[in-house]
Formats: sequence, structure tokens, C-alpha cells
Amino acid sequence: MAHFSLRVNGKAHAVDVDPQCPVLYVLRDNAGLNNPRFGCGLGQCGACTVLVNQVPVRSCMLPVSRAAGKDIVTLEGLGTPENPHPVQKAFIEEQAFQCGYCLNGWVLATKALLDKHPHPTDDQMKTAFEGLVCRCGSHVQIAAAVRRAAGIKRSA
Amino acid sequence: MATRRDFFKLGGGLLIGFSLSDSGILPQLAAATPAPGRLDAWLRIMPDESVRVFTGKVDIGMGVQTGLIQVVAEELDVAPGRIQLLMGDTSATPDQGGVGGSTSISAGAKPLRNAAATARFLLLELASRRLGAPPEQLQVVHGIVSVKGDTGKSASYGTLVGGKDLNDALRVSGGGFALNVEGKGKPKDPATYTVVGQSLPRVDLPPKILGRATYSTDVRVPGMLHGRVIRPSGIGATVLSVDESAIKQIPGYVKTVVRGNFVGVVAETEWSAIKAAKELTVSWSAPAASLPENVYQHMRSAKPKTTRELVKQGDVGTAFSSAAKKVEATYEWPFQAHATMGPGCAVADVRAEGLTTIWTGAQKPHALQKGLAQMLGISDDQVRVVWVEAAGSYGRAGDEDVAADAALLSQAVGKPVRVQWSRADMTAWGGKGPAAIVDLAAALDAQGGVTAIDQTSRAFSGTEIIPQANTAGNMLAGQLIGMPNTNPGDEFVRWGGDNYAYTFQNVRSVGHIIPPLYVSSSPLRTTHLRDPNGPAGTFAAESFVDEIAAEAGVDSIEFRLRYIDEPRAKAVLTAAAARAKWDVMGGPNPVDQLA
Repeated sequence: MAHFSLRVNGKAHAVDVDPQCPVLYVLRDNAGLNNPRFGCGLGQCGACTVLVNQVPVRSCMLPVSRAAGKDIVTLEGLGTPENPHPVQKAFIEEQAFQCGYCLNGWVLATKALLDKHPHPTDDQMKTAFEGLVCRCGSHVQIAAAVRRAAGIKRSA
Repeated sequence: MATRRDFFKLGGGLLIGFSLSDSGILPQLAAATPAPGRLDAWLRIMPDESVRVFTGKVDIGMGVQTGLIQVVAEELDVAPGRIQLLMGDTSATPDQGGVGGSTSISAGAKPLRNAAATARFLLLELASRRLGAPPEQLQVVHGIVSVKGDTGKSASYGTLVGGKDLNDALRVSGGGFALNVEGKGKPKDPATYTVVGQSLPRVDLPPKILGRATYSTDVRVPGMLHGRVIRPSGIGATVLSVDESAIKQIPGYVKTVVRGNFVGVVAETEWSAIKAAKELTVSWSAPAASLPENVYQHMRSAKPKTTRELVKQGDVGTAFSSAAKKVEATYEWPFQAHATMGPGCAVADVRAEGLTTIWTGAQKPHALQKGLAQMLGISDDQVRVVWVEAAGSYGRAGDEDVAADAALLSQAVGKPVRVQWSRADMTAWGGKGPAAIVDLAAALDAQGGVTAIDQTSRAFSGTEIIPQANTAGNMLAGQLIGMPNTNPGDEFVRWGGDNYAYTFQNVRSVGHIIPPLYVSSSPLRTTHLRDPNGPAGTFAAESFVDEIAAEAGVDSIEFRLRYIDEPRAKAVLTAAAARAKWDVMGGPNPVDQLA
């Protein structure tokens, strides 16, 4: 067990945990957050995505010791119901999911993508979303939401 | 006068379900499932003008909650945003058989529609007395009743009910998916619908996208511990010994639980439970059975458990003997894992006395209540199962099995225990869609027209584990503590699935059920997987129709339309082809069309 200070959604959290414990469990069990979500524990699906210093990271593979002192943003920290992040707004407007269990990965990867490339090309989108899984097959609506968030008009 | 736009605007930002601590929704925390023959079993008008609706249906990712809200909003003339839906709580919702077979709206919404119509009828009676006008002179807009032509005279639903019970007896018919009720109120004429038939935004999506939704993985109760299970090392392997010395020093480690061949660990945090499960030393016997190297060879040679002629229509033999051409194909369909996006998760709070509560995403909570009660050795009415949304599943995925794991662990430690399966647990031990071999033959006449279809299927039953987890032996944990699976079913792979649209004249379909590879606690326990119409049979039939169309040299959409009379099936096929831009694509493989 060791002591770590994390900054999560702008708030400081002090935790005493196993240094090898993945950030996923620290956020869920110690910080009491509902996001990220456990999908595979193998870094293969993206349901556990969080932003660490603005970069989308699979929290199931990130030992807490490597996240200490860094700035972590989870899905609930991205926007509020009163003031949703533009990316969240776009996903809501496009009705972009079915069950929604995977969406931490898609929403946060979109946020990071648009920070870097405000008007991404299809190839940039493909790269950004590589390794994200949606088991319901909502990909067409997800792509529409990304384009809406980027303000990209697309002819039919 | 409110416009339809205003009406729908209220539909945003709905509260769906109720917080677990909202005890006001339950008159008392009893386990008994509400009898469906009372109006207040289905809905209540609250003093704040909201409407609480209780349904035994659940939502496993298809978005049906929005549709059910629309049906009630339509009959009651209230904004969808005023409706709060409570789904799948055995103590608070009638037993509608859970969900399955894509029937949640077509059958499951009926009692809600009729209950809402009856509530409206009773509300208009109350309003009639209060406003001094006969019911036929009253109108309802957004839950406010007023006198036509004199809207100064009005009363809201909440005022009319005044916090009292709005209740009446309902006539009950059917059961399970077909459960229906009818009361004094007659539902509206569909021609007058303004809410049903509209494409409303899904009510569940904004909270999910904003990170405010609660899935079964997010249920936390006071004093809750975390559990993990350790499965047999091979099929039918039994526990020889368990040594917990390596895990005792893990911080937060609580207990190792061994019952029969069920092995689990409990710890204060999820990470400690994961580490303990990984490091616990369990010695297993050699496997009791091995799997065949080639499952299809095995299925060809195995003696069927059951054989049945599933379809016999016309004279297939004569059609084949006079055929100008014969087309044959074989389709092999593997075992398939559900592979839900999130592995199954449940929280169980098993009490030696008083009410046991289990939260899980299982699709048939009322059936699961019985299975868990049997496994725990307590009566049904001591168990409350509360459905909480999980990752989309569409079948008997894993939420029942993980609920049984959590229940056994909670019973052993006397505290609430949460278990989420690992990805390996889910892939290896979740129920499987059954493997199948489908042999198909078609007799064609000289013009390429189909004169007969002959199908033989060899498949593991789709219901070695029935979708209703209503017995202890239905669940993996139950099997591992020695409870046999008492109600396995024979589910065959039919020609074209359970029903099909084609008008082929002569059809024969024979099904063989292959016995399970291992009868109990097998990683290949077969069960429903995205089942409507039987995926293996549909895959084989539709692939084969493509083959016949190619043989006849006819576009495969056009070919299908020649053999479909049913107008709805025709409409679906035509619409799907248009949306897929079939005419532009020129067929399944446009490369073939290149000159």
C-alpha cells in the first residue's frame, strides 16, 4: 500500500492503495465514480477510457503509481447536465448509442481528437477510434456525432 | 394551447427509474410481486403531477423504455417528460415474463396502454364531479382536465387524485409476455395518436452520455464487499484442495468460499478480490471430459438426442426426382459467445432473516427470483430481484449466472457482495449460442424456379439452459454446488428460423438435437443468443436463397420478392434494399458486374 494524490475532474483525491492497482478501480472504488467502466481489463475495448493530461488512456491498464500528480478527467467531469461539453451535446443530438456501456471511450476520444484536429479527416477519425469497440453497432451514429461536434457538414 | 413541439420538449432530461433510496415508490419493502389485477400495480398519479409507471419489462439495450413511456403518455394525455418508468423490480412491478422475442412493445405495452386508458377514464369521472360537466364535455391537455369551451374550469390530474389511491380492479388475462389487463377505459383509436408513432429522442441516452446513468456495475450498498469466482480448470474438474495462505496478506482480503466445486473469494475492494482470485491456490482433478478436436465432425457422427420432422409441406421427394437442377450447400455455425460489452455484474445482499435483495441486469427478473430462492434455500417471497440496466445483451448472457455467484458469496459472508465477471469469465463461462450444421438442397425447374427445399439440421439445443433462470440448476453457480439442471429444452434449428416468408411449395425440414458435450457446469452450456427467429437457421436459409438466386441468374432481392406474398415482409425487404442502395450496388459483389 502506498499513498497517492490524484487530481480527478479538478478535485484532489488522496488514496492509500496498492501501487499496481489500475486507475480504473481507484476512480470507481476510492473516488466513487461510475465512469470509467470495466469492459475487458486488457486495454482492448476502451470502455474504461479517461483523459490523463488531455490524452485518452485505458484506465484498466494504468497503474495508479503512474497517474499520481496527473490531471484526470472522466466522462462525468467533461460537462454537466446544465452545461454539457459540445461533444456530449453532439452525441445526445445524434442519439449515438444503444446500450451506451462503451461510450466513455468514444466520447473522450472524440474530445481529444477535436482538441488536436478541430476538423478531422476520415483517416484521422479512424486512427483516433482504433481499438474502440461498440458491441451494439452504433458506429454510423457515432461518426455522425463526431462530425456534428466538429461542425463538419457531410453530403449524403 | 400547447403545441406538439412543446409537448415533446418536455421529453428531454427525463428521470428514468428511481433512486434506490427512494422508498416512497414502494408502500412497503415486501418481496411479494404486485398482482396485476389492480390499477395501482401499473401506475400512480403523484401529487407533483408526475406519473409513475411500473412494468415487468426491462431494457437490455434496445431503448424500449422510451416506447413504453410514449404508449402511456398517449393514453393519459400527459407529456412524456412527466412519466417515470420503473422496470423489472420483483417487489414493485407485475410479472410480465421479462423481455424476449422482440415482444416488449407488441405484447408488453398492451397492459400499460389499457391501465393508462382506465386511469384516464377514472380521472375524467373525478373531474366530471368536480367541474360539474359530463365526461364527454371534458378535454385533457398535458394532464390538465378542462371543460371544452370553458377552459377556466380546469383541474390537474395531481389535484384530482389529491395524493390518494387512484385504483380500480382490472380483468387479467394471459401470463408472461402475453399478460394483459383490461379495465373501464377504452384505449384511443390509433388514428388519433399524436405521441405514439413519433420518433422521440431516447430518454436514457442523455444521462448515459453525461456520465450520470447508473448501470448494474454502479450499484453500491452500505457495507458492500467485492467478490470474484475461480472456475474449474477443465470440464467437470472437481476441487481437490484450496490453499488460501498466499492471499491472506492481501490488504482487505476477507474470505475464501468453497461449496462443492464453487470457489470464490471476497475482499473489501475490487482490486483486492481480483488479486486474491488470481493468487489463490486451487488444486483441481483432471477434467471429466474433453472437447472434440473438430466439433462439426463430432456433430456429424454423434447419435442425436432427439430427431423431429419440423416442416412437412407438399411432396419434396417427387419435386426432387423431377427437378431440372439441384442446388446443395452446407452451413456450419460455430458456438458463439455473447461477449457483452460489459461482463455480467450483480450485487447480492443475502439475509438469513428478512428480505434478500439482488441487483442485476438479468432480462427476466421475476424468473430469476425463483431460481435464486431455490439455490439459497429460502422462499420466493424472501427474495427481491431488482433489475438495473447493464451492457446490451439480447439473450441469456451472464447476468443471471453472476447474480448466483454474488448470492452464494453474500450468503457465505453475511454481507452484501458485488461480483463483476472478468472478460475471461465472460468469454469462457458465459452461456453460448449453440453450434449447428445445416444441410440444404433446392430443386429447381428448367426456368430456375424453386420447386422444393429440403433441410436437415444437426445442432446443440438452443435451450440446454432455458432463458428463464427459474431453477437453481439453471445457473452455473447452482450447478457447481451440485444442483442439477432440471429443465433443459430441445430447441431445433428450423428452415428459415421459427417463421419465414417464402412461399416455396414443397418444403421438408428435419432437425436433430446433438446431446450436450458435457451435461453440467460446462463452458459450452448453450442458451439463447440474439435469438429472434433463430440465427443459425436464418443465416443458413438466407445464404442459401442467395445461392439459388445466383444459380437462377436473378438478382437476389428480385428473386426473394418472387417468393414472398406477405405484404409486410415485402415492404421490409423493399425498404431495406432501398436504404442499402441495392440498385446502385448491383448485388452483393459489385466486382462481379465489372466488364
